Amino acid sequence: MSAANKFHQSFVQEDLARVVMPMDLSQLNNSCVLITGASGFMGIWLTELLTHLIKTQQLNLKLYLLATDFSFAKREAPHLYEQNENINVICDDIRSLHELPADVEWIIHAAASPDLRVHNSQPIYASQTIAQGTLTLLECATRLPKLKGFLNVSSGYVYGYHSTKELIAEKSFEGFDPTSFSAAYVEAKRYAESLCTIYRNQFRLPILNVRPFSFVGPYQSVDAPWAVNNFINDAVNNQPIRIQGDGTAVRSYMYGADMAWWLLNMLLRGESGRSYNLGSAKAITLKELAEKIKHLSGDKIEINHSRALLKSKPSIFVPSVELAQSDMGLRMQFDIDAALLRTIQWYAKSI
Amino acid sequence: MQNQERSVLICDPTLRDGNHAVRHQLTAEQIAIYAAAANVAGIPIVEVGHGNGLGASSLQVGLAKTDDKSALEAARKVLTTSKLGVHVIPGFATIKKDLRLALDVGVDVFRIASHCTEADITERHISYIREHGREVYGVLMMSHMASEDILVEEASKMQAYGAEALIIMDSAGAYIPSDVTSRIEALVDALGIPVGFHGHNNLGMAIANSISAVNAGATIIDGTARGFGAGAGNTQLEALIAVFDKLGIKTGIDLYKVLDAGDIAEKYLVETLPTISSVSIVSGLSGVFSGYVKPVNRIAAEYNIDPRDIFFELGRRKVVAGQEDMIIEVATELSKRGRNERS
Amino acid sequence: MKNAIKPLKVAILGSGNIGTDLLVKTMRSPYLTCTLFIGRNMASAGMRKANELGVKISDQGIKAIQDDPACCDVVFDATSALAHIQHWPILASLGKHVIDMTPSKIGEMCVPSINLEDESSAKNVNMITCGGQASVPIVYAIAAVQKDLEYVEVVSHIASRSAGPATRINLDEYIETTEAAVKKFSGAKHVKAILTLNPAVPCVDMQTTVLVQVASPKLAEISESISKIVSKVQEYVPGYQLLVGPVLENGRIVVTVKVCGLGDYLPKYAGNLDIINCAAIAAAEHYAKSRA
Repeated sequence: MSAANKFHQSFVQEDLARVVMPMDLSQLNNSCVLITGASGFMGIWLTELLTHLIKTQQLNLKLYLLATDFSFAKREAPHLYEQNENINVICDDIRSLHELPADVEWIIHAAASPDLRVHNSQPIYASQTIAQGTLTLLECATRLPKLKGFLNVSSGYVYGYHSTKELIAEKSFEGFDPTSFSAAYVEAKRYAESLCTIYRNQFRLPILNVRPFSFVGPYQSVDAPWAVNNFINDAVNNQPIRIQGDGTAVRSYMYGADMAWWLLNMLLRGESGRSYNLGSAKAITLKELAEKIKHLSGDKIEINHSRALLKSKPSIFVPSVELAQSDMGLRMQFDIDAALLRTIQWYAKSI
Repeated sequence: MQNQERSVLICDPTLRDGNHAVRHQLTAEQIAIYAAAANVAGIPIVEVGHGNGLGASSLQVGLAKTDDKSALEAARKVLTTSKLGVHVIPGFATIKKDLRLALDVGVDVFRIASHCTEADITERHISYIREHGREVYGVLMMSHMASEDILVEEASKMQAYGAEALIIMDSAGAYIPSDVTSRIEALVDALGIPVGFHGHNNLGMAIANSISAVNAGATIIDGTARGFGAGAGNTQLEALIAVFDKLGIKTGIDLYKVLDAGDIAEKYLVETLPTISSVSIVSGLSGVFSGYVKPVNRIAAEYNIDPRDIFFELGRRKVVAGQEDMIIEVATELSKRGRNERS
Repeated sequence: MKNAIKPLKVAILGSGNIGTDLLVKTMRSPYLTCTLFIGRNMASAGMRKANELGVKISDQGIKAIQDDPACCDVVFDATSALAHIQHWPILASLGKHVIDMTPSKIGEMCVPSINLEDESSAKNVNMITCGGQASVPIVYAIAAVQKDLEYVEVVSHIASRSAGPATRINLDEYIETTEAAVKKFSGAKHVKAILTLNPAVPCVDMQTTVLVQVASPKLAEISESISKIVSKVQEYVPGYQLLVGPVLENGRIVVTVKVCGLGDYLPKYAGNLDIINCAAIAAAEHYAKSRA
């Protein structure tokens, strides 16, 4: 293992030690978890967390990791896949599944790229992976004798476009135009939720939805087309941070380790049939975000606004997470400053 | 909107689109002379290169007298306040051969272009520039060939790939102001990035179209000195700045100095001042890429046919930019047809 | 009576447009028989088509061949360059003759009208690109007459609808691979490849133009050389036709060819996909004959 990989491994262990709280894990012991989309940001963090629990809590747990391509995951986190007898990697297209190992008791369905570029360049592939992939997985799940929980990873975008300051709660749906090209990803996600509902109804499968918002941290590719990644990429490369528009767009960010811990709690303790928002409820404008990143990286760089002065349309994408807090008492351990600092440290060392 | 202080970012492709007008024969000295004048005038972005952009010097479109590296370096040396820009069409330019070179020379703004319905060929190129921390715009060429909703979809793709602004080009000079208004309004409404307009003057509409674009919410406008550009030329920059001054639209450009830059262009770059020739009007009417005027005229003379017939036939076949070889095929066919009719 | 040739067993890896069109072409060939059609998704159109044609199908990817190595002698790999890089060592160890439809650039580049003889022994045969298959024969015919070519350029236009997401995202690879082939078969010092997508409806046929600049062009000889090779290409690509030239225009030799597809699985306008598949079938048939 290279020095960079050793650094990755211990870095993530420190983060996980901070988020793991005392919890009854007996349900997981001697069981088996399937993660789809296991090679992505969410999948790698979940694999890290479960591997961490296996080691630190003497858990007997088998993992099945499903994805079409593990090259990114194996490059970034080889320690997870080399000589790890708890892990079984399945390289397959979720759409062609017809059977799952009979010992699977827990499923986290995180297949589908959240990358806007994929939705735009390969819209049919993106929609099909979500719609057909979810259908295939549910169909297989109906034949699992010991299934205890099925967590469907949906998207915070299912709520439609929001422009008011109110946090988006689990019932805050706004309408949108299904014929618009950019709605295709969201419509597929909505359809996937709908499929979960009818399979729960017809087969009484223990299913719940999780709707993720925005995240930051290790295992996101630095070229991902989101503002926070661009800003951090600029900062780490010592070049000016460039803000598009007037910087008034409002977002919120949850750190990868918190995300993984919350997801596991939702799987084990969430109420079947419910939908939970996943993310941070602490709003921040892109302008404030850029300033924080500038400050955290030593105040050496400038912030430039796009020269064609543009008044941005109000855009707000921040969840209410009260439901997760009241049902499961979840709290974030990394506030925005800690999350950004850890992410900058990670990329500064990795690049 | 009308009462607010309005400002527009000017991009000047004199040293790129103008290359079409001189069959891509601009020299490094000419580039340095005009770039220096543009820099003094405070023009924000100066675009340099072969008429079809980076890596486009070819037998197909025309071999450039000055290679990309020398042309960009000549401009880079004198552009102290203006940014250096390039036009990039994937299919001509590649990341390894061309984008890397331009990054090394120190190009500031990359305008990655595709035909108006083919934005997904720009994903890799836009992402690459974004990762390397330079400014990157998306450009939809021949935009008259797509409806508003298709333009919005394609523009949204470029935005998703990381484009920081979106320019539509009236590459054939085919628009009238109402066409521009509806398209720009739709784009401004749908996108979260600045929208721009690049005009051509085939139907004498370039300035009027540019004003319509600004009134519809565009904040980036292209113009060239003396309108030096493909076909009947581009939007004439000096006149555009004067009109913007009159309308109270800020550009940050010094009027006298941009007039001087125009004079310098006329003296050092321009062979014949752009005019709205009969053939250019037909090019605009038939919706064919303005850059085809020179090769069409040449080939029409060689094959002894009417260049206007060639343009209408190319328009019927819906050719896009980069299909210059079709001109010979069309000329061959028209001359055969002519012979058959005579015999 | 001659002994009937026992057809060679081929497996097709990849159930997309290319793979499925290859299947239809294979079924028509007296020298080839498709014994396994492999995809990843049983519900895909290609898999359903193969099933309907009565061909054995599998959704297990390369594993299907590993599990039953005797199922085939030849493998067409119509997946992606990335996947082919992983497939090749496995197929090589199983001793398969591989015809690579992806731009992975692993094997020897093959244009059936030019170098079939040399390629029959190669275990990994690379089919270059559609623009390469269309332009290289012309380039080669010109180079046979005009020695020491300085610069060769090839320009292709294809219908937008025939360019799927993989082609679009890999334009740079298309250009690099085509340029490598033009260089290899022309010996020119400098080469350039250009690709344009045309969205016109009805869809345009694939058209490829070769442009060459030479000091003293021997047009008559070139013309003869080209017409010979065009008929050779037509033996395996029926829709290949000379449209323009060679003509001398503005100091350039210009030759334009057009490729209409056979309309097997893909529509006729997809001449770009048809020509590379026709070439692959020609390469496989040649191998079949050489073994018979």
